[in-house]
Amino acid sequence: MHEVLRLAEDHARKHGAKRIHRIHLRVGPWSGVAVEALRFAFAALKDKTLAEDAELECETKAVVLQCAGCGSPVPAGDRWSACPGCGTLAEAVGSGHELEVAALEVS
Amino acid sequence: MTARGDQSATMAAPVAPGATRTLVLGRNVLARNADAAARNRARFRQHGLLVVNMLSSPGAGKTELLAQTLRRLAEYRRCAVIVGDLATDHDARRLADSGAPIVQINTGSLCHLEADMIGRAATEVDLAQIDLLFIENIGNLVCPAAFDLGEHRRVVLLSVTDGEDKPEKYPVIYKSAHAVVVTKTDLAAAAGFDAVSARQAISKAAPKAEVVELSARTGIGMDDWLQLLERWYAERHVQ
Repeated sequence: MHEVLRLAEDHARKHGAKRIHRIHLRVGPWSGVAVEALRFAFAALKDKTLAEDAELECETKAVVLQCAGCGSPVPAGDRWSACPGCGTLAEAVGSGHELEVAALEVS
Repeated sequence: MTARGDQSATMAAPVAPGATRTLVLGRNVLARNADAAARNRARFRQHGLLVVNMLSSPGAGKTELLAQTLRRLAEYRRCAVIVGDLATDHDARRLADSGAPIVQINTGSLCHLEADMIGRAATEVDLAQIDLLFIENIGNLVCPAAFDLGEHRRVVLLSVTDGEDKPEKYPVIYKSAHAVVVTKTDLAAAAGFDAVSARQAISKAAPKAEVVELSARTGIGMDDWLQLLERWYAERHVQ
């Protein structure tokens, strides 16, 4: 969360903003990030930053899964779905591991 | 205070419509670590090093495996180790017997190593004088998985006392492994370790990983591990 605030404040300052009203985070479902823990940390850390009155918006992305062994498509559902064919755990196609500061609303 | 009151207390202060604007970033939160890892990787490449990141739960045998590896490699490879722990220099002292340069990082309360820590620690080693750099990560099967240190290869240990199903319980870190080393095999019978189900759990989480079974204490299986390191050393320029 320190890094989220640092990125947000740096970017807001670079664009001449005085306040951050909303931080839009994009959280990959496989990122290992617990959204509740992020919110707790945000509430604890935002005081005396440009984002002290900001809302944290966490968008959890859907992922397309494929088997890490044979490459077959795996139906999404359970976080660590196994391939129905060979039993290997699926992996996200493209991303799914990301934790990204997507956008800021500033004034 | 009512639940409703709690909620309104955390709401953003009202702003007149049109007074705000949107800035689009699309910046990965770990971008700073990724940049530092890329710098490390470039530096390691420049010196022709093989860099191996060793990860496991606490007590799975990383230090003993490294101590025996350094001892056996001493004849033909120049090694160094960067070792991370929350506190103490016990591991650095255990490894120092080998004569290899050892740098201890104490993270205080941080549960993983980050790329810029490795960048700083690496300045304490004469990289031109070594072939292999091992990084002994903090004993933790969760957070270290997310931090690229600029290594070429990741090794995740599974000790026979950890339980066969660890790869299924901690899939993120095992998925990232180039090799899984099953350690303490001399204790397998006492621990009731089922090697077949361990292999199944490993291939489920990390189907492409190499698997080595060994006991650093007795030396059984150590040759397989050293051969793997030699193969990786030969391949280090084609990463």
